[in-house]
Amino acid sequence: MATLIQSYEQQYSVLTADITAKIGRLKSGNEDNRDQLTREIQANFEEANDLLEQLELESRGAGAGSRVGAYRAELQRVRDEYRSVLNNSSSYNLESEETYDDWSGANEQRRKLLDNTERLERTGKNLTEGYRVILETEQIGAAVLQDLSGQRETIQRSRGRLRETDEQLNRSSRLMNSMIIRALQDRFILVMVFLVLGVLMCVGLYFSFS
Amino acid sequence: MADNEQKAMQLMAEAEKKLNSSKTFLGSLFGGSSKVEEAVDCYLRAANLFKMAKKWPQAGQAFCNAAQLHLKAGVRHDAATNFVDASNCYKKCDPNEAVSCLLKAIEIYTDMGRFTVAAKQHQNIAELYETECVDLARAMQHYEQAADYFRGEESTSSANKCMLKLAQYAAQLEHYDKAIQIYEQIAKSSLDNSLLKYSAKEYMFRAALCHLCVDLLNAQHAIEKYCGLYPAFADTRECKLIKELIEHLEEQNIDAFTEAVKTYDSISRLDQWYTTMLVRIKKQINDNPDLR
Repeated sequence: MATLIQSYEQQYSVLTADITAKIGRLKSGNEDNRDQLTREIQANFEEANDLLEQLELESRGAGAGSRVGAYRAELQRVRDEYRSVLNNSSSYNLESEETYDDWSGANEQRRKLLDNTERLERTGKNLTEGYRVILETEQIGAAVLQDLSGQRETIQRSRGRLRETDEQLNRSSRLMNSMIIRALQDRFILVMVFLVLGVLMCVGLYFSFS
Repeated sequence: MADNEQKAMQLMAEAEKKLNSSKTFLGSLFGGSSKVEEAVDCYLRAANLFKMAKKWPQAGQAFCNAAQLHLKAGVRHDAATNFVDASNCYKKCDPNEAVSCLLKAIEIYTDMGRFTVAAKQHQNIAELYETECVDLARAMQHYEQAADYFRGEESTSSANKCMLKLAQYAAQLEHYDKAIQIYEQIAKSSLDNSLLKYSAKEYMFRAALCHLCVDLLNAQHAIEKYCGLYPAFADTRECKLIKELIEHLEEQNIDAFTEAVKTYDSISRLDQWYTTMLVRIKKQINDNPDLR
């Protein structure tokens, strides 16, 4: 919970810093992507608002409402600043555009180009990195599959062996049973023989005395 | 530590005494075998104590003695187990002795028909040769034996593992034909298996590299053949690299060759084996100056 709030706070501070930086650029004036900047700032404000709401929701559970109020005040302050810049720059903007049109246009394009190249480079690097990771993953996957097939073989073999053992155990238990039966039979026969012997002895004694 | 060693020494002496006493006439008549068993027991305990004291040679010796006695008594399975234990002890000090112990164990296991275990021991020997004494030729021999036994017992994956090692060393020792044959065989067999399909390209790549070490034209044919066998191979980076390398080799362009290898290496690292092979291929360019 605390980490979530922390991450929200972090995002929020990054966002406000971003907005302030953009306002600064807006103030410096010699840009003709002013529209785009203002649009971006608006989007950032909306995002910050959303973030604040989230933060409020989260912190209500955690019991830290005071800080959210401070954040809201800060946002309001930044918004005021933005409005004031927007108002007094619109007049300044007109003349600046007229006077420095050619020069600032070339400069701007150059800067854009540089930006774009940089971005392209960065993206390219990201892509190669991603490709590398994917290849590595593929390799790992192949290794895992290989391991799996080996283990599958082992398991199948052990199952076969287990079946064999089971069969042998069955056979031995049958053997044991027959042995027990045989032993019982033997004992029975032994008892019978003793009985017969006893009877015969009795008969013999009887006849010898009579 | 010293205490353990002393105790172990005492046990050894005791075991010898028991053995000698069992040789008397009366002893051999009454319970001769039980005397031997006691002696074995003493040896085993002594061996374990030696192990605790980290006196590996003595421990190995004790295990060996126990194994010999077991053999005499006709308990072959225990004898083999003891030999393996002995080799484990010898491994730490005297690899050659360990190998001879393992060989004895293998003899017993093959005699009993336990080929899987024997194969595993062969693999152990090969690993010993590989790491301890760096005798690759003998390691190969044992890997081959292990693979044969594994295949005989239908455990293909273990056999393949051994064959791969074998091929790797064969290529290192410049027996390229053998390596190529093994790699192609394994690649083909793994294409049939849905689980192993994804490792096939690695084997094909290795085989192609071996081909490149021998002859360019053969390598081209081989690549075409592999693409026919496994259509996805044509799209892999490995295949592209090989094709590129063949091109550069034909042009005798060393710099482009190095560049191609470098770009490949920057994305997926090449290990020791690949590097040696590539260096050998590169050397070929230097060795065969352009005749045109």
